Amino acid sequence: MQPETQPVSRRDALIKLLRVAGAGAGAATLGMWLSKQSLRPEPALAVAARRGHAVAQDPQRPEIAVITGEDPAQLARQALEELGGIHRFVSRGDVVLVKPNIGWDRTPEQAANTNPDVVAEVVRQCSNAGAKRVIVTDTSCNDPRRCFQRSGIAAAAQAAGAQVILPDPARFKEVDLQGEILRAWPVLNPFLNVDKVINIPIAKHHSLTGTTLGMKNWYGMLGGPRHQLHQKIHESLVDLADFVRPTLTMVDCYRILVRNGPTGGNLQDVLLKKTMVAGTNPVALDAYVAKAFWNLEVSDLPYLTMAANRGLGTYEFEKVRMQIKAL
Amino acid sequence: MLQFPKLSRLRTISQTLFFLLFLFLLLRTEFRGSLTASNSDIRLPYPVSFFFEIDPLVALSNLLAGHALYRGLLLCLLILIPTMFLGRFFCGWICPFGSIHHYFSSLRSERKRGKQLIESNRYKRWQTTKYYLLIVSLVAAVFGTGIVGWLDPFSFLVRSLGLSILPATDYGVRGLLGLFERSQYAWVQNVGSGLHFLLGLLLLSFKQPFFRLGIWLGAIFVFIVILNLRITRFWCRALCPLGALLGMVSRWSVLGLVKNPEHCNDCNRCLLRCQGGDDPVGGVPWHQPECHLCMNCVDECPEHGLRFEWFPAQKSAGTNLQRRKVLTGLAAGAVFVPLARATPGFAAEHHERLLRPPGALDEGFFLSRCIRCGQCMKVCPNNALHPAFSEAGLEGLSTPVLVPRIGYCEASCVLCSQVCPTGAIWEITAKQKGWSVDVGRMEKPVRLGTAFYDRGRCLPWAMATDCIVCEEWCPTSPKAIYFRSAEVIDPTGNPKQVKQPYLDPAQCVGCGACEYACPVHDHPAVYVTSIGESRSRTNQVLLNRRKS
Amino acid sequence: MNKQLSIRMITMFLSALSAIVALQAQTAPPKATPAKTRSTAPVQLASLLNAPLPGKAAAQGSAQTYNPDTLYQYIDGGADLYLLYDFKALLHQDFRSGPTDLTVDIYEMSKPEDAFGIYASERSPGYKFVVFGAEGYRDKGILNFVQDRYYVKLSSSGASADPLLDQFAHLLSGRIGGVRSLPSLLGKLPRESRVLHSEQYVKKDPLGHAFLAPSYIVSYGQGKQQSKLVISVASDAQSTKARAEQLNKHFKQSGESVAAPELGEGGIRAKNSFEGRVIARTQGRYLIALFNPSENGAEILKTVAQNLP
Repeated sequence: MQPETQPVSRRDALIKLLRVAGAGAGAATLGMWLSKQSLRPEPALAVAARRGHAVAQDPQRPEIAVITGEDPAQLARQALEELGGIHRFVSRGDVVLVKPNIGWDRTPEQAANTNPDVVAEVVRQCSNAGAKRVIVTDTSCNDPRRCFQRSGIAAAAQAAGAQVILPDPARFKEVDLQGEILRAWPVLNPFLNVDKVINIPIAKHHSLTGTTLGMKNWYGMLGGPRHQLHQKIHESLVDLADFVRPTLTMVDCYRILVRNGPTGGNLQDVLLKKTMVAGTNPVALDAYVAKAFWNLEVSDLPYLTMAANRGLGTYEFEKVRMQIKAL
Repeated sequence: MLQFPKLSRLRTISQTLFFLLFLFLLLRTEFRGSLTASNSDIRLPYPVSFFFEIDPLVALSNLLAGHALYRGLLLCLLILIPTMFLGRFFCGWICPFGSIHHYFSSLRSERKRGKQLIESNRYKRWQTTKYYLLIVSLVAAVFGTGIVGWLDPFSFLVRSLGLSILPATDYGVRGLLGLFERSQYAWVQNVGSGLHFLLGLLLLSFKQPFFRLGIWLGAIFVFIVILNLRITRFWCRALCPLGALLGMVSRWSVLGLVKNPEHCNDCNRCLLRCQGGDDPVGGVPWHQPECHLCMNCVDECPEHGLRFEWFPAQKSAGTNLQRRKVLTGLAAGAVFVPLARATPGFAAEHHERLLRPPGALDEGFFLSRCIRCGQCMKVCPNNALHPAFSEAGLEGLSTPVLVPRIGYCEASCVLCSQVCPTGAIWEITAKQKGWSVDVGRMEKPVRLGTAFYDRGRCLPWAMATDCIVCEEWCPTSPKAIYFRSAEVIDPTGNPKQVKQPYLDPAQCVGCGACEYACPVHDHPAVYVTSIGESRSRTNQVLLNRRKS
Repeated sequence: MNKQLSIRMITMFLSALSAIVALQAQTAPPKATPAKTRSTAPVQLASLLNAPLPGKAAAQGSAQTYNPDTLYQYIDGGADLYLLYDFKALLHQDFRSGPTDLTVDIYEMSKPEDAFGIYASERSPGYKFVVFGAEGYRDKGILNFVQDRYYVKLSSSGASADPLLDQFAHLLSGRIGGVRSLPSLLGKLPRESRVLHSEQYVKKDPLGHAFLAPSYIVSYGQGKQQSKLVISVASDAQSTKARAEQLNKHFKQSGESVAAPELGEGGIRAKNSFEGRVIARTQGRYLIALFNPSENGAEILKTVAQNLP
């Protein structure tokens, strides 16, 4: 069978030509534009973030409060009282981030994580002060689900009304820490948009730094290859502390881990000290706790001197206004 | 008047329900963490091993290998006994893998059309292959290996979905959600967060899992499923050893298909959607052991010429195995174990990276019980367990091996031992594991291996740089990693004090946390090998251990 | 495939593509920071008890000062030990705060080592230690601590005695300032199995050997296995050699002593019936001796020698 023949009119030919020319021109333009866009692919830039959450100094109030007593929640409450009451730190409508140590898969008796009663009490106090939202979170080293549950902190904080956030790989944002050695690092999102930050570490032994106290607790804000920080651990701690500048630090010394820290595990490594050391001078706090329970001097903890030089506080805790109370 | 629904409709509902149940249990084979409970003893809230426990093939293999029935496997009687009475209702009404095959078989396919479809649904001789596979597996089980798990449908399904398809789905979904959440428009971000939350509750794992051999498991699964486009329920008819077992057991069934030859006009409509390939068509005997009781033929027949009856008058055709092939099967099963174990890997040249999960039995017992199902790998919160490829030889393909570079063994976790259906990983408590609960009181903790240092890569040893992250992470008390201060010369020639790590093999439990945490993560400076594992009497290096 | 379907598919594909491109985006900037330093100042003994004082404490009578000649008037025979440690001045004052009485004694010594020495001679490892100064302890109604070259002894009676002691201690510690740590040499000695709070700085007859003075003495281990590490500090290496010779001679005369070069410079191993075994060596101006050494005694000697300047 013969294929159907249909002669093309001049008009049709012109239209066909124009269509093809148009398509060709379009392809050429698109090609040239795409060529101009060619850039070497780079990973996304780190964002700048809010630095510092400290409140004004109050010369009438002590900078450090050392409270001893039986009930951990009461210790926390009294410490806050001595320092000026929760209202000095948390205002109505604030979004508060409470940062305990929930790093390890251990029970409260093993003293590797912050005492859950202390965390719950602080959460309650913040809510009573009118905080809009109280967030409790940490980037655990071990599996976070187990850490949050077995430490008792998730349940206690949740019951006290906090929003407990598990660290999710998707929740990290690349932030420029603007430190001397720490620049762009992934930071857990909740840390970035809050009004007040309250640090609640637990006092433990640590082989590299001697102890892990308040300033080391900021590790829990970071994701990424934070095991690299150990190569310049003192400088890293100072960079982190400089970035956060917390509203308040409360070092949980109810139970302390004196050996085999920071993981611990053996109950014989735990000492019951029934103490709370809290204050607004993070360097003095660390110096005091290190001296009190491990008899470590400032020279043993280089990061204290570095932090003092950066204006984060003073390590001469004997010169700082201190209130010592036994309940 | 409510009409009694068609049996095939009921069957579809049953298949759907059991499939959803299976999917639910599979998705819940994961510790999700509770924000309200604070008890330190962690158990999974759902009976995730349920489908394995009702699987008669797993029970039989376990019985042959271990001379006993482990834990919940007695539940297999729930399926076995009714099958003896009714036939392979399990395949048609319950089996989730069967349901997947059923679904894909129902998709329109070029090769299965009209006359070709009808012809493909006739009984075929190659349908006896599954019986030979069953014989090989069972004989191998008698000789002490659990390779039946390679072909057991649940094992296959959990392995494929849990280790390959679901992680791939996770990856894809997270990628898509990431697009939303990185947008510069707040409303798009919120939509993304909302979806993420919802999907996180229903479908997504807590964190993205990565499994070795994932692509191969996925490819094999897809291949098997795609075969359905060629031949309806190919797996169920030709390969499934569970189907074969149930087929053999149903020879005494009291329920059977009765064909009414007077009503049959050879339209062959009954063959159109026959699932089992059992010849419901007139003029030939019905193959009872092949029938899945899908009820399609009964509902399709326009003359209502087919009926299932109690104590049927017509005799059905049996399995009809060729004696030669049976003997071949027996021989193959018998020969497999000696062939496999005479190759180094089992008794000689034990692979150094063959780290087994905590609670695992000694290798011989382990290989005889492990059905290679992958449940332990799915449940591990650290994504530490992976299917072995060459570490345990051909026999150990798909058995779990701990890969510390991907995940370490969490000190207080015993989830893998809780979900193992056959006791290859014998159930232990966190206390018996002895790494974190009641530390110091437990005389003999479970050990998976021992860590060793590669001083040529370790930062304080080779690069005059402080580190000891390994010591920080070591979960034992006292720690198995200790350090000594040493003076080293840094690259500029200046002396410097660094803390250099050492390992105390008497304390090390082989959890792999050090290898996982080591900053030289492409090829860690500290690594765990299997020597020193407590389950083996021979794989030891120390003569005796100091008391801690 | 028909035209409708193909057009629809192409449109869907293109819109999906553009949606993906549209949903991408980000931003970024940078910045900088500042710095600061510390302080020191000499202290007048008398000014340490100036107002304001905690608990609104009111002085009972005037402050009394004692010098090396008059110290015996306050503490009788006990003054000899203080004089041995180069005592310079004592500030003594009584206070009352509400129902509580408080006595403050601040001893100014010549050097921080001296203050530490006198403090350590009066303390026992069994006391309850507190965080004031370089080190301090409390017992019923008393709180003593040492900081820089001052040895502070506080005693109190009456209700709320302890909190008042704490407050005074903290205040005085802040006013004294200076070096708030134990003698640096102690920090260079091994911490493993050290008997806490057993360090001593002995200026007369350390362990019965006059030629070893002054010496730091630290106990290690427990019970029968307890060993004592002695660091004898001389003015130069020559004097140390002389001391080592004297130690050697003493043991040769009372028991036996052999040269032990494997221990290091000037190493000797010696023993006699009443002092037991001893291993020793020199390192610059230090003589390091370990009495009743444990199995890794040689290791300890080596580590200490490495750490000492």
